[in-house]
Amino acid sequence: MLVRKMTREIRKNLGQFLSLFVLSFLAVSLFACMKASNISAYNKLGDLRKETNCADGWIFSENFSSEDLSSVKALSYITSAQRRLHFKATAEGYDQAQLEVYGLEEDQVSMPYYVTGNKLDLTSKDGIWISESFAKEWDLKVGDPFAFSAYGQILNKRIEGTIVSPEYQYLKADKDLDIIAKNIAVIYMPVDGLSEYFQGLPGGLPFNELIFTTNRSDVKSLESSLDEALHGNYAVLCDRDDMPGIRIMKDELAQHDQFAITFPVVFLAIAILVIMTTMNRMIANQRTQIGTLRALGMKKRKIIFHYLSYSFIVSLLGSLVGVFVGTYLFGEGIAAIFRAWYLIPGWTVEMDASFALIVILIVLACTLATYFSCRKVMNVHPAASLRPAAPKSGKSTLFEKLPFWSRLGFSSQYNLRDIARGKLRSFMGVFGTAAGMMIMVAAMASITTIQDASSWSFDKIQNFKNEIDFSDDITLALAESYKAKYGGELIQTSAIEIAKEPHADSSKKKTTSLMVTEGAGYYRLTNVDRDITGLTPGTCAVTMKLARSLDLREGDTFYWHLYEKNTWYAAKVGLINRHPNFSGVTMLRDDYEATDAGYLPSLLYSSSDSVDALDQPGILAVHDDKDLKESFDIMMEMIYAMLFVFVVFAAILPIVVLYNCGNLSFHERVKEFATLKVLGFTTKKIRKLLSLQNLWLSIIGVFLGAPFGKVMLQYMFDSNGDSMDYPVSAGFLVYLVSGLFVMVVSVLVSYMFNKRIKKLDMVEILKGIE
Amino acid sequence: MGNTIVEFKNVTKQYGQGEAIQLANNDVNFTIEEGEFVVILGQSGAGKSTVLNMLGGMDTPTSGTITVAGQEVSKMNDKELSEYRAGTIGFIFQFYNLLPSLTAIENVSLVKNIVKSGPEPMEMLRAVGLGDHAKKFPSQMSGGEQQRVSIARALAKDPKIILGDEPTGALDSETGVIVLELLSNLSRKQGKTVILVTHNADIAKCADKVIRMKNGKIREIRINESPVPVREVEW
Ligand SMILES: Nc1ncnc2c1ncn2[C@@H]1O[C@H](COP(=O)(O)OP(=O)(O)OP(=O)(O)O)[C@@H](O)[C@H]1O
Ligand SMILES: [Mg+2]
Repeated sequence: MLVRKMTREIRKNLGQFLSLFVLSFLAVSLFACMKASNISAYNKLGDLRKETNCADGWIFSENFSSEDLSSVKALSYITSAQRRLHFKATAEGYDQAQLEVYGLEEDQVSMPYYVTGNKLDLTSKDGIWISESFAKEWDLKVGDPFAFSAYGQILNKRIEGTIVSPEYQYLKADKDLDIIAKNIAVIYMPVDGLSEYFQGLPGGLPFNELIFTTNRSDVKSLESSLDEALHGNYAVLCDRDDMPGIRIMKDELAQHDQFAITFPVVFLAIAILVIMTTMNRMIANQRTQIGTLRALGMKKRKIIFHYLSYSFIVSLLGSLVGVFVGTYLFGEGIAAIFRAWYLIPGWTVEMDASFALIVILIVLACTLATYFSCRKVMNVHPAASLRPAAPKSGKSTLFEKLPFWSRLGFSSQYNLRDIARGKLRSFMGVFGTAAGMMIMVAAMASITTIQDASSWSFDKIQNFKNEIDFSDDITLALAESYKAKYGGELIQTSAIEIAKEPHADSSKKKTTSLMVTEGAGYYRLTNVDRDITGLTPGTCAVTMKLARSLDLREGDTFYWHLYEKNTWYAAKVGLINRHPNFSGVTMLRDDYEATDAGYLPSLLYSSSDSVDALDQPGILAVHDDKDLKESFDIMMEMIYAMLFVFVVFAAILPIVVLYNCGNLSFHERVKEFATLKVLGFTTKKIRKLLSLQNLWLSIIGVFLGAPFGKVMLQYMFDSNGDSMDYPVSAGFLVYLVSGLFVMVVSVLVSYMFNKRIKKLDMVEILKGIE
Repeated sequence: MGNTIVEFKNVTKQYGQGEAIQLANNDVNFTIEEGEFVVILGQSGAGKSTVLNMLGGMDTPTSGTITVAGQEVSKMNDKELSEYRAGTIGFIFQFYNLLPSLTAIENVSLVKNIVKSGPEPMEMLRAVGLGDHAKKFPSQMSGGEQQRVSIARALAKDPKIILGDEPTGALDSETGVIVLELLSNLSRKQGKTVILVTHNADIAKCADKVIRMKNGKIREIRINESPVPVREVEW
């Protein structure tokens, strides 16, 4: 009997139950969508590392001898080790794509994962194995010839296979701000295939990397014994967290894990509010029914159970649908987007125990919310609950203390009193529209923020037309000659480590970048307020987030060394600067040359139309500002693609809560509206009366939610790690558009009640007391 | 007297369909003159409320015509009906139906949102003897007081016709007399047409015209040549 009652009740309160369904669905599906692709990523990453025997540690130096390798291999905790040669090269053609070339003498550690073609053959002198992501972009097949240049030589090779490197889930060209697969590739090849080209080099082939796996979990703790084994002949020891190709993917996944928790919380909170308000009303309406059931001898437990089952069933249904749709539809969508950026073979979606946990959690929260709503009524004595509840008594509210109260019209007074009577419901309305507004502002502001960062980059920082990239074999004299020819400013970029004390150990130093400028104004610095400033000779600029993480202030002294060398230098912070996507230290050429670190420019920023610069010795590539803007454009495209999803979410929240608010307040006041109708109020007047409240609540929500939109977006940008510094920029227009959007939704919701008011049966409703 | 203000012509109201068909009003015909004090009498289920609701523009007949003050109410659309209810009719309910969240004076004033002209709300509250209770909420007033506020609310619209469905039904006899006297005075002193529904035959003694109903039909229409003043009725 109670089952029939339940299905009838659910049908009668379809709106609310639908909202509950939608909200629990959204909460779970958002969680699932973020989580499912992550779980798969972690699992597939594990598989990849196991299959390829991915390195745990990387040691860099100028050259490792075979004795070095043997003594490292001899260490008890080293399970495998190999040395290799690594350099950057440029593709011949293919937009002069950046190549990370690895020359191998063994294939033991960080072996390639094969997608197509043959296995790595160390005797195949002409063969190369190239990144699948790159091959796909350029439609390269096994057997295709492929040429690239390095150290002034052109190497003509043949593609033997397409691969994924376990060390590069994140593979981004240095010149790009974001991942553009066609601009970079990893190449594995036998070291023998390189020897003919490097004969001229003193000391033969430089094995500049030594990689190993270990059975210890803390790679950095091995530093002292490795140091001993190598007799100090190395520059840096890195673990996976130091390798950008691995770390950035890990950060991204961690970010998703975080979103998987934060976003559902908002929806859960609103779901709980909807449940409490719906159940409060339903149970208040059924007071006499409950009293009758109890008077008939039905156990209290059974009645409570009956009411709990409403929200239990609906939220369970919503959650279950959410798990599957969230995983296989939304999650697969997320995985598809990220698959295009991060390279993990076989990455799809998977579930784990946490999915069951979140379903249980949400269903439990919803059911518990119901329990607290029923408990009140259950504690009333059956006889008392048989009498209708004392009508909600009108009484003075706080609002009446307002000085202008008496001058407010009837509509305002009436609605203000109603708000005072339904505090929880009103809170729900404000909270939901605030959440919608927050999402909307974040979505809109993400556009203006990228635009702002783009103009910051191109109008303030980059004051040049072309970037001429030098190859590794450039000489200072040659670089100076190009500068004389094209004009501009020479720049050196290097990887460095910095710390507050010299020779700091791993925990106290940070790996970052050094940029040496000539201070000629082609590349300009901007201060914390993002105004163009100069750098005082004798001092360095440190980017804001890096300075903060090292607790460096202007005037402080810090220490740095080139990544591949172990000589530390002192420097003084003269400026805390900001840059959207450069994190590190900027130094003037004169100051840099005063050290013995060795100055060698990596690029020339020039204002001339240096299109003819290509095909000259020492020049790797020329990028005009259109090239450089490409990354911003891609980021923009991505945001436009996601905008739709954001806008849908931003609309769903206010629709759900405002519909519920309207519904609840409509039901609570249906008799009053019928009375007003008898008095001669038109449908329009009554609708306005009903929606005035929603209008206020949404206006409050809009104002409360607006600042949080900015906070949320900043949080999302900041969760990209310290290398990005995108200050969220949200102008008046962003707030105006978002606010208008939410208000339009709010007004449209009020029209959902139009028909009901028109159909309001005065005779029926006013017949009796109840 | 003499002007016909209400006319019911062959009015039928049917509920349900097929087997379960129910004629709440079956070929009802009557007229009411301007300024008359009319009582519609009959047992429970006779169809009294149905007549009053249709007259009040809250319900429409299945067939027949209802003409009020020259307008054909039975043909009006939603918007016209709203205007008709606002301008012509003052309705008084058995259970008062005041808005609980509004004070007495606010309950009366709210009709100013639809009818701009007409008497001052506070004046109307004084007229029903509740000048001192203006700031009270319905829950703080007795049933009789609430009903008087509801009369004040109806009067504030300055309607031509006052309709009351069992306006004293929820009141004890002493309070009922006060309310009834108020209503009869509207007809006697202000010339308003007052139509009340009741199943109390004693109240009928005070009316100018008594319409007696049974099973959805008019049984008898009786003109009372000498209505008894409300004070003298015993019930
Ligand atoms: N919505 C409805 N659906 C079906 N039948 C109805 C409906 N409303 C009224 N009726 C029927 O119409 C008849 C007349 O009802 P009405 O309310 O006019 O009676 P009444 O004379 O006012 O009775 P009472 O003195 O009890 O209020 C009744 O028999 C009732 O059952
Ligand atoms: Mg009746």
